[in-house]
Amino acid sequence: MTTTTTTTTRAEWIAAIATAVFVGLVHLLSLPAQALTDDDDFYAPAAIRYADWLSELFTSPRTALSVTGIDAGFGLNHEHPPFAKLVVGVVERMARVFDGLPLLDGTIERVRLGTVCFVVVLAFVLVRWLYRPLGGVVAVGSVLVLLSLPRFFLHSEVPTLDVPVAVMILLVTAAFERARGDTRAGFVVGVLFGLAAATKLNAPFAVVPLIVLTVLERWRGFGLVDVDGVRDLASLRLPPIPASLWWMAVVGPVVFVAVWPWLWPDVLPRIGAYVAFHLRHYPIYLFFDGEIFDKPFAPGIASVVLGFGSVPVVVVVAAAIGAVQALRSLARITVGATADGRTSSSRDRILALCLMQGALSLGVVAVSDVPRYGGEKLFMPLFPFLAVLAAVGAKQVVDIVVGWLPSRRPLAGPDLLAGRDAPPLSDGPDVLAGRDAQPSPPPPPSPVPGEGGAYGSAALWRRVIVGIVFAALLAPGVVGIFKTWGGYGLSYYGELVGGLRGAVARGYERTYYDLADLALAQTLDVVAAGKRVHAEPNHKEYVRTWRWLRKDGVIRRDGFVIESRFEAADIVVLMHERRWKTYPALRTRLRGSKVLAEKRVDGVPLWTVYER
Amino acid sequence: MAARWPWQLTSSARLRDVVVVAAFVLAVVITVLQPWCGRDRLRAADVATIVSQHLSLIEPGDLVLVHPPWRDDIVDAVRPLLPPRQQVSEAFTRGHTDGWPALVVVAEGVQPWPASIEARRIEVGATVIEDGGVRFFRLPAAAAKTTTTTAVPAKSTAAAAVRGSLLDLGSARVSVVDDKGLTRSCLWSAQRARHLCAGLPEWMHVGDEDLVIAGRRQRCTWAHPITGGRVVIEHADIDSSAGLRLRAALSDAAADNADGAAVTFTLDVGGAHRALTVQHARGFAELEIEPTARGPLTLTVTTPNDGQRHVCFQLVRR
Repeated sequence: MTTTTTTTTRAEWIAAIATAVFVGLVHLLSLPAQALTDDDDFYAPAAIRYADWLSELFTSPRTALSVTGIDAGFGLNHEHPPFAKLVVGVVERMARVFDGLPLLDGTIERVRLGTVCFVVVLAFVLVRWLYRPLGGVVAVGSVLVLLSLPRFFLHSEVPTLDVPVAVMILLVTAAFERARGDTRAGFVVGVLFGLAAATKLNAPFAVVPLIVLTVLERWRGFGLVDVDGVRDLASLRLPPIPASLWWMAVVGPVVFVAVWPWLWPDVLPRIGAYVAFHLRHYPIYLFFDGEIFDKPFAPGIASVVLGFGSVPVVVVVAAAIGAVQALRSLARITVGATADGRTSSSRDRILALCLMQGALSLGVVAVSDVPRYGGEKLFMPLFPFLAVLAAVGAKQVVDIVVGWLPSRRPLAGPDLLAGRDAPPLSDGPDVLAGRDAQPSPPPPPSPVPGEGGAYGSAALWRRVIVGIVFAALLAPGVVGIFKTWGGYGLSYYGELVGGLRGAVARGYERTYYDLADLALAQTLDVVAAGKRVHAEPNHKEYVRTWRWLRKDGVIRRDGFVIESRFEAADIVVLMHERRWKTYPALRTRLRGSKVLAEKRVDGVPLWTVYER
Repeated sequence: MAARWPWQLTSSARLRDVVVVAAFVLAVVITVLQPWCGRDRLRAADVATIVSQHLSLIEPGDLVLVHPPWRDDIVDAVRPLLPPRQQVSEAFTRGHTDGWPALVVVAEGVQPWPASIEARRIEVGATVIEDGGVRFFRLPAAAAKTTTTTAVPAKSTAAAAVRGSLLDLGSARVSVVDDKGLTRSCLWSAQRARHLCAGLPEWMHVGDEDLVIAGRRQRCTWAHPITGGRVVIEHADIDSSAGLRLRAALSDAAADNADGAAVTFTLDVGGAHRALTVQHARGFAELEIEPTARGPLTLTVTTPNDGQRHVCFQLVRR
């Protein structure tokens, strides 16, 4: 047994490291082709400034820690907390040693690397977290599913806060699940929660599923104890509260303030201003169902449609299968609750948490009265949990199909990638029977991969089926990534809404974020050299983003001239974003002008370059 | 042990297994078939031929909307069939609370149209005519959503205008002068029922909208100012014989912005030159003008800083 555990541990580490390295390499290789969003110009300079302040903290701490120093260091983009920007800034500074190398030869690539680091950590933690309870196939498969989602892929390569907060929420969830009642581990959860809260505003909501899980696991601990025959508030008996939650409540806020120097000179008023900014967030246009929404905000269903409609249908279906398993896990946890919540399995806890965190991420945006804009960016934390559920669902499909094979013995056998201890993912005996239910009988001896005979053949079939099912799960997303390669990932739609064509026909936006892709800028370098270029309908964003490309030498400094007036431009770029009310008039006005270049995906135009 | 195929299984647990696998396989099949199902069916010239047989459906002033939105080739093919002033486009957008222009939808293939258009079609009971793979229907114009959804005659946008407004926006002249003195004319769009200022941000338009003012939605004429410049609204002939009342307000959110700059409305009419300024207070500020002879009117909107200056006005009889 010790040997087996050692083997599993080694396999677990190897799988986690290999997956993380693979994810890092894929992103590293694709970074130079990625587009810029209109948020890059907010967060990237802030990240660099914050890192400069950290540097100053070591060289001249007195200046750095003065109110003036703090305001100068953290005043930029102080509407959003700093943790992700600090990481991005530090990574950018460290990556300067690679200046001159092809993949990191520019400020914009280096700041993107910070976000990639978050995703690499996510890949490592996800595999480590899931490997034993759910098996290696699910652990590695979850990461690959996430990597294959075209929109998440793009967000993973831009220096914004959406993917970092998704990563931090997953880290908090995983750490909480692992910590159980452990006090030291609970402290780590508290620190991670503080860092998550210091990443983006939506992170604190992640505590809700953790509390719900705690209550479901321990509801039998609630009770009333009569004191001298009187029942009042003092009679209420509560179950023990996990150390993690205490630490989150105590350490979390301390860490939040500690990593955000902007707050230090005036803590409460500045926190108040931070909250007030987001409570009164200005409306941002969203084009949905053929209508432009600002105020009133788009309906909540828009979030659901744009969330599930922007991933491949096979992932949605697999996640739904996984979600059914997660519901059963929730039921098992509830039925099997004890006063101290120690009986529920890691598998059930993981599935329940993934379901609740995913639903909450989307639900908060869908239900509350907040501006809904930017497609899926507001509920990015949904996707890692969706990927886990999809991998769980796909694994269930594998288990079922393997069960239909002539030899049934491998069905009960362990996950080949999971080492010998991993249980099969199919529910097995119905443990809904309650907390007294007996654990599943131990699996029979594992077949040794590559051995001949019935076991070897069955193991081979099992591998083939795993390969087929997961290829079917991953392929649509991978094809989508290549189809939208070069910074068009936000134009990806899944088959649920008919792909990009179906989505555009339905009146959903074909792109957003004022994406500045390299192909357009480089095209302008050629077709508009020395000419005056104006972008519509939202010119000002391209003034900001093209500046980055020029600074990094992606386009020539003496190439085209950016012209703020439509009338004075020789060349007009029309981005086909219909959330702008001027779009139809512009389209009509430019019709008949000579088209110099156009980008279409699936026949749908994303941008057109006109000569006036 | 012999193989147990799904159709040999009977228990509910096995039925569940079959459903799970079938759902997964169905998703894969949809993935494979979907691009084929969503392809364009007809060439633009063929669509134009079919449209030519249904021209009686199109009335003067209608916007002929080609669907799906990427078929600009159909727009080019259909345009020669229509009178020069007839608008035909594949690019149509409208604000959620805006009214509707009169539309004739020409839809090629099987792609669905937006739910908002379908809801409107059902609301007015428009029948879809299908001919050779092209679907047609006509939607009458309508006022903004805040009013009742009764259809109004085509080309009329008056129902969406500010109640009691003396300003006929459609015949007004609007221009924007920026801080460098450059003047841009803002053209009237009948489709959008507003003046659109090409080359300026989208919010630099002048048209009737609903804003939340003093806690409730109120209809007024949006006229976003420009930093250091001026928005000029000119009307050649205003009947001010009974006197005028100019009412101006920031939206509540804008009024609550402590950093927001003042916005000044200057009214020149009948020789009078009067100014009205709004900044931090919610609700309408008012300015009354004594009766004057019928004649031209100029309203100028200025601000030192246009950040979140969501401002509008009403010009009504006193």
